[in-house]
Amino acid sequence: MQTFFVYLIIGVAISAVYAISATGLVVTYVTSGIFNFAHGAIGMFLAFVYWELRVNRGWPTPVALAVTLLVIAPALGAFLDIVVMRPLEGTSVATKLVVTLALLLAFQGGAIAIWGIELRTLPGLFGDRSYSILGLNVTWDQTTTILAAVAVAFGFRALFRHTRLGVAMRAVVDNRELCSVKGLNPNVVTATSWAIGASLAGLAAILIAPGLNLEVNTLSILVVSAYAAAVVGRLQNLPQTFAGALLLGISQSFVVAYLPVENAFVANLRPALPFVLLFIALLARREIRLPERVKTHTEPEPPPARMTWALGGIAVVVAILVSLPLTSYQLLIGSEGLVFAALTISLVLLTGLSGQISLMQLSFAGLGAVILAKLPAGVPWVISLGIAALVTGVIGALIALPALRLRGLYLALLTLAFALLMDNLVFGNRRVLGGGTTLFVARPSLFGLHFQSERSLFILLAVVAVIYANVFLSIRRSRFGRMLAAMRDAPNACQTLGMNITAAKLKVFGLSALLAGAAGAFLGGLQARVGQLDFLWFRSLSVFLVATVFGITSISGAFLGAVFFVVLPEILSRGGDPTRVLWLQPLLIALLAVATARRPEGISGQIRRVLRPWLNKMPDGWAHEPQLMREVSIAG
Amino acid sequence: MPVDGTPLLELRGVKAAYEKVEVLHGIDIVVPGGALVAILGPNGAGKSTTLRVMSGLMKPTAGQVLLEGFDVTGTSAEQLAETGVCLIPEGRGIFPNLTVRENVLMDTYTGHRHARDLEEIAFERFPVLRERSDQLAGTLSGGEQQMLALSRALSTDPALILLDEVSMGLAPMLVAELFSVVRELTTTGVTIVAVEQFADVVLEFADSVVVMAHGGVRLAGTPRKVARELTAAYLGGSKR
Amino acid sequence: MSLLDIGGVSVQFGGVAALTDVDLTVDEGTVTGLIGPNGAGKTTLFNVICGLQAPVEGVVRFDGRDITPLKPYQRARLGIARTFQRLEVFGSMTVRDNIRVSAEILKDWQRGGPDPRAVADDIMARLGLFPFAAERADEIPTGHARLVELGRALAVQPKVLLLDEPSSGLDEFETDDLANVIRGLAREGLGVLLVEHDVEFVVGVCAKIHVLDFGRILAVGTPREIQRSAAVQAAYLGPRKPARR
Repeated sequence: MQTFFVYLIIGVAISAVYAISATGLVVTYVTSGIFNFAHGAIGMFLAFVYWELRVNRGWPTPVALAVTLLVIAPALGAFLDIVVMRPLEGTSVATKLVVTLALLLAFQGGAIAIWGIELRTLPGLFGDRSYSILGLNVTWDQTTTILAAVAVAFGFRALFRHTRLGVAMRAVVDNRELCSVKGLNPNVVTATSWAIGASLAGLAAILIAPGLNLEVNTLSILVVSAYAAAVVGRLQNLPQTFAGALLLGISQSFVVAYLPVENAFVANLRPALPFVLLFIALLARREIRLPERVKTHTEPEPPPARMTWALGGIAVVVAILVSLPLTSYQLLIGSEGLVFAALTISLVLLTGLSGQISLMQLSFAGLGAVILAKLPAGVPWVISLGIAALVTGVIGALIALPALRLRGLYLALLTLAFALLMDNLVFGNRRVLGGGTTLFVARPSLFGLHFQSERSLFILLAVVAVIYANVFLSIRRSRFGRMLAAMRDAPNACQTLGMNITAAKLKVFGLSALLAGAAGAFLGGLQARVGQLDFLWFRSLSVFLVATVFGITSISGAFLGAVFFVVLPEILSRGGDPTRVLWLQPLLIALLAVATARRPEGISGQIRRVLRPWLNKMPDGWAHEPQLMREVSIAG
Repeated sequence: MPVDGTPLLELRGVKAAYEKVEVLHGIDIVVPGGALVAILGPNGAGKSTTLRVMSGLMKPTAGQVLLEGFDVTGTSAEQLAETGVCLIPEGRGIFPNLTVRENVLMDTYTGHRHARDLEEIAFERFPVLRERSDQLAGTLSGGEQQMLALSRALSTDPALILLDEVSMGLAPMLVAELFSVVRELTTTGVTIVAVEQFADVVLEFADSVVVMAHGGVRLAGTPRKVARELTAAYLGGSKR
Repeated sequence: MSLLDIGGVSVQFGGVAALTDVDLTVDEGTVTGLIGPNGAGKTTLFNVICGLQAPVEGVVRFDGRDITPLKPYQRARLGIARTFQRLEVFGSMTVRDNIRVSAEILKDWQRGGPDPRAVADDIMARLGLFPFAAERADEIPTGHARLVELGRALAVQPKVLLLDEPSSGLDEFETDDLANVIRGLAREGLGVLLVEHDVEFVVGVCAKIHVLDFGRILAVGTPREIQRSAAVQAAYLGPRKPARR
C-alpha cells in the first residue's frame, strides 16, 4: 500500500506538469488557431533561462522565477505571435505547421548555441526539502507542482468566466471578425494568449526539470505528453485536458512501480506511453472540420518518359565521371545525399502530390534498414531488399488505416507520435538491436555484383536515385497520379465523382513507405551500421522541413534538399568545432523554413523561375512557368 | 445631421476581390446623413461585400471610401468601429459560446458606456434577453439572437449602422418586430444602410434604394421608383 | 417509379433540425427545382443525397434501390453526380485537366470508357469553356468555375445531376446559355435537381419545383402554382402584410 501512495503522489505531480503545459498549448491554439509544436521547446528554453539566472548568476529563486515567467516568457510569447505567427494569417494549416516545427528546431539550436551540450541539473524550487504526512515522504516541490496545477485550473476558470480579457479571449475563438467589428483588435488578444502560453510552457519545464537532466531533447519531447492530454480535451476543453494529463501521469508512474523494469519491452514502454495515449486519443476523435481550401502549387507536366530516362542515364554517366577524382570520404557524403534524395522523393509522392503530411518518413527508412539487417545472412541481398521494402510498405498502409480519417494537424500529430513510438520501441530497443546500440547491415550486392567500394556504392546509389525520380515521374504522368492530385485539391469532389479515396490513400501511404523503406535499406547498407541516432524523430522532422524548404512538390527540390541536408553538416563542422553543427544546422534549417513557408514551390521552384529564359530553349515540358503561389495544400 | 451637402458615407468607384476574383466592379453609392439606404439584390450580387468594404473588414482593390468627406479607404474595422461605424453582420452578429451578458460586455470596446448601462438599454428594449441573460447566446432562438445583435445598434450610439440581412432565416412575424426597431432608430437621426433579401419590408422605411446585381449597381432611386421594377427582378416578370 | 426518391429524410446538427421529414423525387428526363431562402437546408439535402451527410431518419432510393447505407463514391458509381455551392474545383489543375481527370476517374471504375482527353474537349465545347481551357481552375471567375464543376460532373456520365446554384456568378447571357444546356441534358434523359436563387432561371427550366423552408418542404408544384402560392411568397419574399401597415 505504501508503494501505491508513493507512486500515486509522483504520478499526480507529473500529471500536474503535463496539465500546466497542456493548458498553455490549448489556450494558444484556441485563440490563434495555431497548434504550437514548439511549445515544449519554448518551455525547455525558458528552463535554461531560469537556470542561467538562478544557478549561473545566483539570483534568489523568487526573483529568477518571476523574471523568467512574468517578464521574459510573456515577452517571448508575444514576440513570436507578432513577428512570426501573425504574417501566417490566412495560410494553410500546413504552412503554420512547418513554421512551428521550424521554431522547435530553432529553440533547440538556440539553447545549444547559448548553453552548449553538457548535462546540467536544475535544483528544485525548494531544494530537496520534504515533509512527512501519514507516513509518506512528500517533497515541497511535488506539493508546489500540484498546487500550481490546481491554481492554473481555477485561475483559468475565473479568467474565462469573470474577466473582460477572458471573455474577449473566448469571443476571439467564437468569431474573430465580429471582434474587429466591435472595436476589439483580436490580434492583441491573440498576442496575450501566446504570452500566457509561453509562461505556462516555462512553468511546466521549470517544475519538471529538477527530476531530469536539464537537457535540450528530453525537455522538448516531454511536451508530447502535453499534446496527448490536449488531444484528449480535443484541443479545447480544459477539464478534459486535465483528466487526460492525470490518466497519463499516474499510469506512467504505476508502470514504473508495478511492472518489471528488467524486461526490455517494459523499460521502453514507460517513455512510449504518451505516444500510445496520443495515438488512442487521435483515433478516438472524429474529424468534422471541412477541408480547408488553400491555393496549391502547380508543377509543370513532366517531360515524356523516354526523355527523363535518357536524362537519368546521362546523370549516371556524369556521376561516374564525377566520382573519379573524389576521395572515399567525399564519396560517402555524396552517397548519403543520393539516399536522402530517394527518401525525400517518397515524401514528395506522399505530401507534395497527394497532400498527406508525414513526419515519420525516416522511421519507415529505419524499419527498412532494421528488417534487412534482421533477415538471415544467407538470403540474397536483393531478396532481402525486396522483403524489407514490402514489409515496410505494408506497415505504412497499416499506419494509414487509422490516419485515413485524419487531416492536416491531426495527421501530423499522429505521424509524429508514430515516429516517437518507433524511436522508443524499435530503434532504441536493445532486444531489436541485438544487445548493442547499433545493428550491422550488409553492403548491397545485386545480381552478382558486390558493392563494397565507396565508388561502386556511389554509382549504384546514383542509379537508385535516378530510378526513384523516374518512378515518381511516371506516377505523376499516370491516371493514378492525376487522381492523387485531384484528391489533394478537393477530396469531397473526388468522392462524388466515384473515386474511392480511402483506397487511394492506402495505396499512396503504402507506396511511399515502401520507397522510404527501400531507401532506408540502402542507407543501412551504406553506413554498415544503423542505430537509434540515425532515425531520431527530429531527424524525420528535419527531412520534412528541408523538403518543404527546397520544394516538396518537385524532384529537383528533393535533390537540392538532400544535398543541403548532407553537405551542410560537413561545411559547418569544418574548422574543428563539432558542436557548431548541433546548433547552427537546426537554426539554419529553421530560418530557411520560416523564410520560405509561404512559397510552396520552394527554393528549387524559385531557381527554375530564374532559369526559365534558358530552359525555354529546352524541349517541351521544361519551359512551363511555375506560377507564383502562396500556398501548398499538404493538409488535404 | 449634416445638411451642408457632404454625405455621411460615400463609395466612389469601389472595386473589391476575393483572391483574384473580382466581386465588386466599381460601385458608387452615396449615403446622406440621417437617411436609411436599402441595398437589395439577388444572392451573389455583392451586397454583403459592399457592407464589408464600408465597415473596413475588406480593403477595396480600387476606389475610395469617404466618411463625412474624409478618405477612410483601408482604415481597419476596429478604428472605424471606434469612430462610430456599427456593422451587424449577416447570420447573427453574436458570439454563440458567450452568455447574453458576456455578449453585451463585448460591446464595451466602443463608446463610453459601462456594461451595466448597455445591459439596461438592451434589456429594456428586449425584455426576453433579461430572462436569458446567463444563457449561452447560441442557445437562443434565431429571433432572440438577432435581437441581441441589434441591441448594440441601440446601446452604443453609433453614427452609422450597417445591417446585413437582419431578416435572414427568420419567421415573418419576427422580421416585422425587428424592423420596428430599425424604424425607431431612423427617428433618432442615425444613418442606416440595410442590406436585405426581403424587399418589401425595407421599401417601407427606406429613403432611397440601391439595387445591385453581378457586382454592380443596377438601379438606384426612391423606393417608389425601384418598387415598380423589383417585382420583375425577383419573380421573373410575373404579376402577383 | 422515380429515378431518385427521397423519403422522410431528417438531419440534425447538434440537436438543431436542419431537415425535417423531407420527401422529394427526381424523374428521368426532367428538371426539378429546389428553392428556398438562405439556410433552408438545400445544400444539406444535397449532401444527404450524395452520401456526404448521413440522415438521422429517412431513405434515399435510386432506381428503386435503397442506397442510404452506400458511401459517396458508391453512389457516384451508380450515377449520381453533383456540383458544389462552396466550390470544390481541383484548384491546381487547368480547366481542361479538371474535366479530364474526372473522365479518368470514370475510367478507373468503368472498363473501356471514352478517351478522357476527347471527353474534356467535348464538354468544354458544350459549356463554352474553351477560352479558359489552359487556366488554373481556381483563378477563373466563380461563375465559370461552377461550369467547370458541371463539366466535371458530366464527365462521369451520371443519370442524376445535382446542381447547387450553377448560375450564380454568371451574367445574363451566360445564364441563358446555361439554361439551354440544362434543358438539353434533360432531353437526353438526365434527371436534374437544381438549387437556385435566381427564380426566373428556375421557373424557366424546371417542370416541377419544391420549396424548402426551415428544413421542411413547404410546397411542391409546377412553376405557375409555386409563383401563385401565398405561403411561398411569404417565405421567399418576406411578409407583405406587416410591412404594409
